Amino acid sequence: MTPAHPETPLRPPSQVMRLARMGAFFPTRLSFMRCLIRRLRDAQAQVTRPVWQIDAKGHGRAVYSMDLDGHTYSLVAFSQDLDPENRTDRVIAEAWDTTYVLFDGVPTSADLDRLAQNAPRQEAGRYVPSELILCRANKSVRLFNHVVQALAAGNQPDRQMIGDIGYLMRTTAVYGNGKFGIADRSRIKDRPALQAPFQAELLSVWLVRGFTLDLVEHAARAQNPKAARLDPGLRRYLGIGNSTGLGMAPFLVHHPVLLNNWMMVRETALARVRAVDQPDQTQVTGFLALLDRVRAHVAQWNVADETQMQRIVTLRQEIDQIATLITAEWLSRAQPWDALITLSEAYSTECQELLVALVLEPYGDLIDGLTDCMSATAEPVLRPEMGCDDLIRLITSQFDWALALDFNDATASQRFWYTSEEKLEPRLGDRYAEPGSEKEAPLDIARQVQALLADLRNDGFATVAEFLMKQPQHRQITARIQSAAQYPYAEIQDNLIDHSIRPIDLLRCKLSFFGASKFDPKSDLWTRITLFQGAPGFDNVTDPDADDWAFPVLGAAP
Amino acid sequence: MILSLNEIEATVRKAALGRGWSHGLAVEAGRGAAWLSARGFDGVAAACDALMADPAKAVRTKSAPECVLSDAPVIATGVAACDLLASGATKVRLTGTDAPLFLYGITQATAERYGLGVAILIDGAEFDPNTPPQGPCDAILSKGAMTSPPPGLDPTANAADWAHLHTLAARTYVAATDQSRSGAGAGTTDND
Repeated sequence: MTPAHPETPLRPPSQVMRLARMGAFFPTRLSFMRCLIRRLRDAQAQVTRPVWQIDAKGHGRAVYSMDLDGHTYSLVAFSQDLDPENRTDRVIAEAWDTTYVLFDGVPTSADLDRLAQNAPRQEAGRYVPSELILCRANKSVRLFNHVVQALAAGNQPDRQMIGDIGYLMRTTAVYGNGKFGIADRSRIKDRPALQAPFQAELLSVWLVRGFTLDLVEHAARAQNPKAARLDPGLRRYLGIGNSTGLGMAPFLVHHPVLLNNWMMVRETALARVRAVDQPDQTQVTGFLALLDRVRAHVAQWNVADETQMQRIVTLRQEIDQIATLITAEWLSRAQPWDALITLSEAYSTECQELLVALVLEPYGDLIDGLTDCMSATAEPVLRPEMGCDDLIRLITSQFDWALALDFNDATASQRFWYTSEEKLEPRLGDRYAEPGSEKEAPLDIARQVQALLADLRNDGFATVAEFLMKQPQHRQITARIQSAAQYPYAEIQDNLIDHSIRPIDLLRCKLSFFGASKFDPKSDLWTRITLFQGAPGFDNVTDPDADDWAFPVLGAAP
Repeated sequence: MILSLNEIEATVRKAALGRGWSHGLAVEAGRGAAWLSARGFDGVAAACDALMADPAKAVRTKSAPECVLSDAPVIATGVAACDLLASGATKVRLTGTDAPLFLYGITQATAERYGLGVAILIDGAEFDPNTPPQGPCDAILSKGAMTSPPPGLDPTANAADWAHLHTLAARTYVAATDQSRSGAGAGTTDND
């Protein structure tokens, strides 16, 4: 099929679908938060606050409502006192500073009373389909209290502290799609505003961000009616923190078609931009300005994790070199973006992927429409009529990466994924040191491919239907393999049970598609991030330049 | 109690795994239960019924003069019958079908994914999901259409059945250890 726009060849899955690369991704203009903000801008969305029953201590309830594409959505927020002993970001928590529901419509008083009995209990509560999203957030105590004190004293908060932390609250879970009785995704899947992935979840987080800003100013005014307002630049810089751990890691494996669509759009967008023969002056100027901005952004990205910090240090040096090299004159050559991406292959993977994000940025008109293709309504469908010989050929031709792994080496299957009894969350165990591997979750894709091939060769059935009747344990992996030609970016081409697996790579990939920034790994298993940092808020999301918030810098206009 | 379809699909899938079904068939069982529940049938009760069968019981097959799948649980035979129909078989007979309503759900859900219509005859008459036969019966599945209600919202389930599924699902969970908790998240308090 001829592409709609000129494209260079896409980077192959063997290059892109590797954990080391996925774990170096940055948010792009295709990321879901960017999609949401553009949607809100285009809809000229207005946020109202019909309920504000918050006391002087900052406790109570509030409702924020907005109309979007013919539907009204309301964030119902509850704020309560929380014993510091109970303040934890872990999913095992049972109480939070603030809890929220995204309500489909405008809640009645009865709805609010019902939600007041349930939302603060989160998973222990029960919900109905008028609730679309359930989430919670805890304060960054030191920053929240500092901002309150500063504003109450008539001052602005310490910029360094704002920069170091970057958010007033951290979300610790955002639930959608039918969890605990809330609406199934099917309720909203046909609404244009929410069709892109995770739009309801991210709309909730964006509204939560607005609430945290209102709450901190309210708390300051409660101490001093003449308290200062938060500086607009600081207000815009503050995002929402998030702690993300293993619970999110298996998602990309469980949704191969969705992963394919995300990757395919990203790579297609890159291929379109690489094929641009000659950028116009606006695009060159915009790129060079963004290159300057990203240098400042990366300079403000500091983490305690030694591995990530070393990567950042290297990235700073490399991006400085590139900024010296890449001038308007350099970009005047034919296909300069292709040349730049090719040149970047001499640099670290972090630098390569940062440049992918940067070259996409000036080309909204060319690539933003691709985001309509990022949703998936289907998962791989089995083709039972396929001959077993054809399936064998498919495996040997398309899954060489899986067949090359040596599972006779015990370390190649040292880890196993399972669901924890404690909180029903995904976990990663050591097969040789911990109990429970007999209850392993099927994330061992490469090992399953090898087992399927061995049984296919031994059994000699004519069709997949006959084979699976006798060997039903291969049903899921067979469907995945059969869909490989249609969905070339569906599989992570690494061993997910190897002793060296770093789940943090899975997390960063997914979170980059969300649009998260300032990855702050706390181990190989979990990370903190910031959402909507630099994004417009309630008062400026309708501005024409509302989409211009990539790689925000504290102290600079976005 | 009101449930979401996603809860039903996920819980039946986990319960099937806990009962010993392979992952692929557990996924199909979850879809079958959700398909029923979306259309106003009690997919949770039907799943409880179907999950009682022994997952280790192999499907016995005979291919001539007609295709027959014998005396195995509907989770296996229903899915296998759809596979065979999608592969060119015109008719598949299932003997000793243990949970007819779930057979209806799992075959319709599986066939829909194949873009296939599957009709079910029980004792020579079109299967009526509103009056499913009690106990084992013989069924004939063929390519064709059945009249099924459209999917709706707000499925419900009996609390005891729901609890039973959770009991089965719990067999797939692994108790946490100090090692599994290590490095997996923030500390016990986060007051920074």
